[in-house]
Parts: sequence; C-alpha cells; structure tokens
Amino acid sequence: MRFTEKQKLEEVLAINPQLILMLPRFDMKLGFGEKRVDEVCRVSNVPISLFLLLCNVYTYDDFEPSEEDIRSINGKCLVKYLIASHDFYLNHRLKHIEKHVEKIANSAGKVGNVLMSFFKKYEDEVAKHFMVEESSLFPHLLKLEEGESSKYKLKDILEMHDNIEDQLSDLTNIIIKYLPADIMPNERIGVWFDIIQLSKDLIKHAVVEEKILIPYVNWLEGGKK
Amino acid sequence: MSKTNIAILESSSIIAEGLQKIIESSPEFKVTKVFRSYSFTHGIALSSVQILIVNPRLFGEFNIAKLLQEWKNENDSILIFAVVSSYLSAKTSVLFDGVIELDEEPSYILSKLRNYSVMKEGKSTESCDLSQREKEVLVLVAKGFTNKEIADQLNISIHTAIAHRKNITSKTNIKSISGLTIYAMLNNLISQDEIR
Repeated sequence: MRFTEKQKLEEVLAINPQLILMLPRFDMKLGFGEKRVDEVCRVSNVPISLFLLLCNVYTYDDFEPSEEDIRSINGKCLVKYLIASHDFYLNHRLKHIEKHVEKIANSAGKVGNVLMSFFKKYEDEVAKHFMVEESSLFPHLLKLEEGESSKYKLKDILEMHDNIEDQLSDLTNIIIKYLPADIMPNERIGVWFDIIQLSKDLIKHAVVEEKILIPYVNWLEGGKK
Repeated sequence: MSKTNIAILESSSIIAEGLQKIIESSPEFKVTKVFRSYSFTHGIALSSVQILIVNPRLFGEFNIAKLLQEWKNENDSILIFAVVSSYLSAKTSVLFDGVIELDEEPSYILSKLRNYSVMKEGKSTESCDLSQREKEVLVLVAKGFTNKEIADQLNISIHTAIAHRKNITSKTNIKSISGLTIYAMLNNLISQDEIR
C-alpha cells in the first residue's frame, strides 16, 4: 500500500501516527478537519509529490522512489524540511531528554558526571553532524539546482559524515540495564521511551537522506540526465 | 546481616535528628555518631563508620576538599555524602560520593544510601557477565587504549584483542567507547580518575 493525494490527512495519520512529525517541519497547521492530502498541501504551499514521497519512505520500508520521483523533487522544500528536522532533534528532543538525563545523573553520584558528559558529547556530535550537512551538502544541492557550479562534491561530504545512532542505543542500555536499580526508576522509564522515539525518528531521517536526498544530489551532479 | 553504620556531621539539630530518624526507619542502617561541630585539631573518629553525612556549609570550599581527603585517608572505604538545603556547586558536589537534599522524600534518601553501599561492596560486579579477560580488555578500552596497545599490554595478538572487544559489545549491547567507560565504572572495574 502507498499513500495517495486523495486520501484524507487523518487517514494517513491513522496508518502511521509518526507522520504527525511531518506537519511542523513543513509549517502545516493542525486543525485540518476532513481535508485531503492535496488540499492540506496546497493551503501550506507544500509540493504534494514531495510530501507523499516523504510519507511513503517514512512508512514503508520496501518503498523505493522511482527516477521520476527523484527528478521531480523540489530541493528548496526538501532542504527546508531537513533543516526543520535538525532543529527539532537538536533544540527540542535532545534538550528535553537532557533535562531528564540530568535529573538521573544528579542522583547517580560519580557515575552521574560521566553519564552527563557522555550525553553532552553526544549532543555535540549530533550538532556537528547536522552542521556538516547544513554548511556543505545543502548549499551544494541548492547551487546545483539553480544551475550554478559548486565547490563541493557529494563523495567528499559523505566522508565527513558519521554515525549518530550507536550512542543513543548505548544510552538506553545504560539507563535501563546497568544503572543501579534504585536510582529514579520512573524517570528512567520515561526517558527511555523518549530516547527510543528519537532514535526511531533519527533512523527514518537517515533513510530519507539515503533514499531521497543523496539520489537527488547525485542526479544533479550528473547534469540532470 | 550487619548494619551499615552512619555518622552525621551537622550543626542544626533539626536536620541532624531528622536525618537520624529517617535513616533509622530502615533496619539496615544505624546512626552511630552525631557530631554537632568539628574540631580541626581533634578530627572525628571514623574507623567503624561506613557512611559519613556532612553539611559542607560548615566549611569553606577549600577546606572541604582537604577534609574529605583526610577522612578518606583515615578510612579508605568510607562513603561521604553531602547534605544540602540549597544549590551546591558542581565543583564541590563531585568531591562527594552522593548528595542528599533536604526536600527529598525519606524513601529516596534511603535508596541513595542503599545504592552506594551496595556499589561499594562490589556486589554489582557479580552481575557483570564478562570473563576475567574481557574485563581486563574493557578496562583498557575505557582508559582510551587502542587495540594495538591493548594487545601489547596483555600479551595477546591484535586479533584476539579485537575478538574480546566484539564479545564485550555483543554481551553488553554497548558499542561506543564512552558507553563502555560508563559500563566499566558501574561495575566497579575502573574509577573516574583513571579515565584519560
């Protein structure tokens, strides 16, 4: 099954509630009532095909975009979406998780200091990871899309790009399996859900880059042939 | 089971007696001494005490670091907690094994004391599923050594060192070095000062 523009937005969200996260990233407002996907997209000035493409990649693991899907991408909107995602991860989710990890760390004695510095270091790495994309990959894409030349090469940019999911999974293991039993159990269960949710979203974010962003930049680099 | 002996060093009788009451509501703890003031010349007798709870406000920041060192020298297995009514600077709080805040629930204060006495006795080491060799490798990983350096130190081949690392990761499900360092600390295999 795939999503289509004639479906009601509420049906799309019923199939995959995670897609609610798409809306703020595209500046789409809540309160859409009975509107269909195409209607909601038009109101918010979002390309319908890009919105559906992202929803499909996000939801169906076996979905592979066609060449036509890639060629018809609106790069400006895609970049806007990705930057809004970065902002959400870094300035909302991680800050929220940090508050809870800090509470746990404060009652974990000396280990707490190390736990906190582990988390801070992770935040720095994520910020750096996004920075690489925002300062080189996205400008590269936008220049090529305008038909201008760019000093970057996709291949070089990808080499600077490292994995940001491992530490998140380490953090869940430490919090649930290895911290002593008595330290703030409820707080730990709560933050565990938050981290799992973030890590699911980050994995999908990586899939979006792999299946949509990179093929699109590749196509642009090849002179749109 | 023998009781954990606790000493309190606190000038306020409301706080000292309140703490004593909370602590002794749990049968595993006994408050054996309450000091209402501190004499720098005579010190305090700590040999039979496992946990000392101190109000750091009785001393200046400089003195507290020196005093903690002295107390640890006198009894190297002692755990020292701070009891505070308001914010304690991070620089000072890291000197202590734990911090008790006045607005905390009694059950929470007890769980903190319990936790650290368990950790200190090294009971959590038993729950660690790693072999002796894997523990040795883990400690070196946590200290920041490379595979080559680990192999040299333990007199094993680099392939064996890598195999141990893979086993550690598959047993603990922790992949990053910083994550493994926390795991090693939680299992009392390494202390914070040993991390480079």
